[in-house]
Amino acid sequence: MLSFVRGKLLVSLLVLLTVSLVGFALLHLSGDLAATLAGENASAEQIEEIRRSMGLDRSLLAQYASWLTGAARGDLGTSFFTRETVFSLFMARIGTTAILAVCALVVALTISLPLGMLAALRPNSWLDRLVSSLALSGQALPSFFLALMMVSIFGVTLRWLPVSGSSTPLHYIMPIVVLAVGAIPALMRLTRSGVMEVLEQDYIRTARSKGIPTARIMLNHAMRNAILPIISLSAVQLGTLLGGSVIVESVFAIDGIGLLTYRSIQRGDFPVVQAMLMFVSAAYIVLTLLADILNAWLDPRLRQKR
Amino acid sequence: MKKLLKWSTAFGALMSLVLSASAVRAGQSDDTLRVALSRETDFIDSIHTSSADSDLFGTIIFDTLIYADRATGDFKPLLASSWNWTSDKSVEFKLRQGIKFQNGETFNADDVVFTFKQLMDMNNKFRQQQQDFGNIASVEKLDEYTVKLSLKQPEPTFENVLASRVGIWPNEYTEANGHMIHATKPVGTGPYALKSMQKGSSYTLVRNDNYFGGTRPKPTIGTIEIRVIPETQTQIAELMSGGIDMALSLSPTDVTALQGAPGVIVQTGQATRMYFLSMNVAGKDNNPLSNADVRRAISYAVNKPEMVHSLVSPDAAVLATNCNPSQRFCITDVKPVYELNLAKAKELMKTAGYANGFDVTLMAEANIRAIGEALQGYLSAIGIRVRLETMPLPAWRERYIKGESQMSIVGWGSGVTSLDISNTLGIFFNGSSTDYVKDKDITEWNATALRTTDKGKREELYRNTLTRINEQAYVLPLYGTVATYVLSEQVRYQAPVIDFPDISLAGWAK
Amino acid sequence: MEEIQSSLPAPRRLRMRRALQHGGFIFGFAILFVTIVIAIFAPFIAPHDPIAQNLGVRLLPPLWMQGGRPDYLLGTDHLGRDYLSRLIYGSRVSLIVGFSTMLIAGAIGSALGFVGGYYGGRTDDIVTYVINCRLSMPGLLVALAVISLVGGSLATIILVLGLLFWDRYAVVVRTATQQVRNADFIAAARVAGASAPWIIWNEIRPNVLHHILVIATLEMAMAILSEASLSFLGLGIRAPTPSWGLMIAEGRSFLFAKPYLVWVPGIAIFLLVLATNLLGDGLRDLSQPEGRR
Repeated sequence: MLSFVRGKLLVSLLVLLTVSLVGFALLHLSGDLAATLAGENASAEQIEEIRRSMGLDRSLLAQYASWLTGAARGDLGTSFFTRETVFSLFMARIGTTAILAVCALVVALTISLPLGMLAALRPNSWLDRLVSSLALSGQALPSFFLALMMVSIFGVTLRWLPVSGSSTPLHYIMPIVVLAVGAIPALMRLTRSGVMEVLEQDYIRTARSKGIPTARIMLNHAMRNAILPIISLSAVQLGTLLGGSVIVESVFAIDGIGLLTYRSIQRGDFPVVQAMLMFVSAAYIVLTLLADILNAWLDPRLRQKR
Repeated sequence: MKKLLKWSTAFGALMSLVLSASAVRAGQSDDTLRVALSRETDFIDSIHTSSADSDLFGTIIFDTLIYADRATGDFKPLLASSWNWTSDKSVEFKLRQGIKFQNGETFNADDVVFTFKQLMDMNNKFRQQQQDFGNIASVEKLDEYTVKLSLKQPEPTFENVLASRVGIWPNEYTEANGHMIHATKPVGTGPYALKSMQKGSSYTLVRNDNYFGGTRPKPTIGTIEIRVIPETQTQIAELMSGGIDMALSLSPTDVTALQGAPGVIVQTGQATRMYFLSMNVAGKDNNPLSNADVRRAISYAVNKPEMVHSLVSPDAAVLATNCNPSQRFCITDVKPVYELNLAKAKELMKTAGYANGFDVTLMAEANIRAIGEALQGYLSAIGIRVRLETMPLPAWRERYIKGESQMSIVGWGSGVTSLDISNTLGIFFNGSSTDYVKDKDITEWNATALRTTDKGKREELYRNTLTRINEQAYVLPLYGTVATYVLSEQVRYQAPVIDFPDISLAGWAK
Repeated sequence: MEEIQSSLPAPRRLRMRRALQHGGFIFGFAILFVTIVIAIFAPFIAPHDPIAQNLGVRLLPPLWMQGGRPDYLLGTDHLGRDYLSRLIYGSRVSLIVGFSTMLIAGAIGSALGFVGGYYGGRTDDIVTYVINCRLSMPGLLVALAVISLVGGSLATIILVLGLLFWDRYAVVVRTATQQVRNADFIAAARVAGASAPWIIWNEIRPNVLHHILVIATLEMAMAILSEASLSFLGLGIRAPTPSWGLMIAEGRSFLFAKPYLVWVPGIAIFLLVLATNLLGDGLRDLSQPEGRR
């Protein structure tokens, strides 16, 4: 088990390093940061001055190296715009976004697990078809469109929910629903197909034919086996939710890292954007790593495979 | 069953908590004015940054020596009870007595001298420091309540800077904590004090009950809560659902969506910002725009009143000359001026040798795309095929400075600093990288006007400039923007004559 | 189509019958087909020029609402442009982005998947590593950041999306290739002296093509959604080109005063993405012997 974890850890670190390099290169090659940063009345000379003072005139590799050594010490740089450290900007907002993402995942799981299981029990029944249609519709709804519709209906017309901000728990309801709707379809499909696969196996068929209650079979056998891929997908989804919060946070004016990223992208605040890319990548890598370890722990066979 | 009961009780408790929290709605009931802004500001004082949004905070937390009266635009005494230009390069301020800062410090000449000393120290690297404060030669305390300020060169627009950016700092507090403290924990003499802020998202300000009143009346509303809401439709939704009482950064187009909404009042006011169509006059090499007749044809081809009144606002100013009539020294009675005349435009295109038109790229900031599209439509009528490129402001600026613009819609100026025409003519006709005209006479006239205090002389110089611009059709002046102030009907607030809102003036309607 | 057949147990006629009985497949296919026809013949169908503004008729409501006019079936936008025509031309952007992204991403992902799956060993390790790196990068965020710096345009969007969203192809093709790799007919070809590229192209590709097709439709739906999101955030298609996401972005300040400006393009995106997904699901069901699962 230990060597399994060690191997995974090493690969994850390598992936993180590669991703940071690619992200860094992409951002630097895509535009002239110095000119983007220069003040409103900047002349060509001032832009050069900024380029020098920010060290943007050095070679890409040199810049990356200094960024990386900083990052390794926990110094992610300073925002060009607010001049606060990127770290403090993040820490002030990560809580809000984490609440959003985790709640959305929990909501998505509480809806998609039971529905997916029920659908798997009765393939091609009306319930199964309903569940599939729901999944398909959810998948086809652009989150920004859903968000606008919800604001219009529940915020303005019915006035049930506050429209924007994050000062009370009520404020979180609409954003969480929008995010959850995005995560439900994949989770539901996976639950359905996973459970179905297990149900078709001989020992389950035998158990069912012997009259053991379906609910017990579901919980004791089917779910336990279907849960492995669901854990993995949940980890993936959590990473996606962190990224998806960009749209939701900007529509609902929630000051989390999604909105921070969107604003930073708009004003060319490179250190923040780079850090955000790194953060989401790291979150994804850590989560999938945890899911892998958890899976290996639940199912020892996986430890042999690489 | 027991479990279920326990759960439902917990749920009930949670729901009641949630519902009680939601009872907090905008308005008078808790004496809190809720205001929405679109953009977050990096700092909330006017020295460390310079943007309309930070000015909003700076204005109510700090007092300036001179106050720009929001109803008339006149300069009136505030912290200075009077001021007197002893020569065209020096001014004496008599300070008001008996004023205390929000932290209890007494206001006197030392604070003023300290503040100006900070402004003069170029190591502080304040935003636009050289441009706004570089001309200050010295500051001197004559007695406890008298200060003398000297300039290096005459500067007729200096009072604009004083009235907009220079909030006076308490010397002891600032010295002890460094000037950056005002970016996060500001202390001024103004009508509201910052109580708390979540930087970039919400700010709470409370009334300064000891405010001295006078030129600027004592504030009435107890608390002001300012929130940053980036999306316009969310702001509109908040206004319609009663979540906010005031929105200050909606565009006139956004506001048309609010007309007739119950409980919402839309006011418009004059703004100093103006837009013009910049053309690459000086560019060489096969450049149709270097031909004056082509530029004149373009000027005759655009139906400005139609475009401006339907796309910007019925209240927006259609510009005849390259300045906003709300600006001082904006002269509009020059000749020639251009009005829609397609026949003449086509004829001019023919004489210029472009009877079949040409291709050109028009760049514009993304949020004025509609104007670009309108121009695209008008110019197609005289055969000019416009490729419209819209982009975020920084990207546009970058390319404009690099000289990559063939045609651009340029917006410039805001607030008190552009109250004077020099602000608008400044960087677009000074021979710099942002000057696409490079007319030496104009550069000369403008530079002279900037150091001339005699009003008659200044006016003459600007008349020369504006006339030359129109004669040569160097640019096509388009429109002056309208400032919008969207309020809930609970709020009483008079739209200011200049787009430099002072929300300490707001009160409850009843 | 010939090649797929060999991998499917059912003869073509049976498959046709099953396809016709598959409601979702028919629905998806029909909508996608109609959209493609509309997009191709847009100039003949659209009643107005989609970018010609007419300020005199701005913000007209659709025909069925008070004040609607028969010459503007779906009303007009804030510049007085015919909304129906914009919707019709907007389908072009969605489809071009969808198909082109699918082609680019499909080519990259499949190539990686074939190579990794066929060669195995070290090569596969590298491919897996590349896939892992890609999966770790937040796709939409990277797209946003890059496009904001480069500037949005149809070509940029297609390129960025195509270069980003190839991961699923790679994963699926790699697994599918691994499954076929050891089949007898592959071994036979190898013994006969066929080169690896030849085997991949002529023996393996036909056998995994149906997997690629399924992923392609699902990914096309993703690309359409991504373009809409990017355009909505103001970092996508440039005006005045009509794109559905952009139409929502332009109409959103009128969300309450003129809700149709948001609903109409919103429903269009929804339907097209739904149809594409249905088609993909249908393809998968039909390629599996037991039918729907």
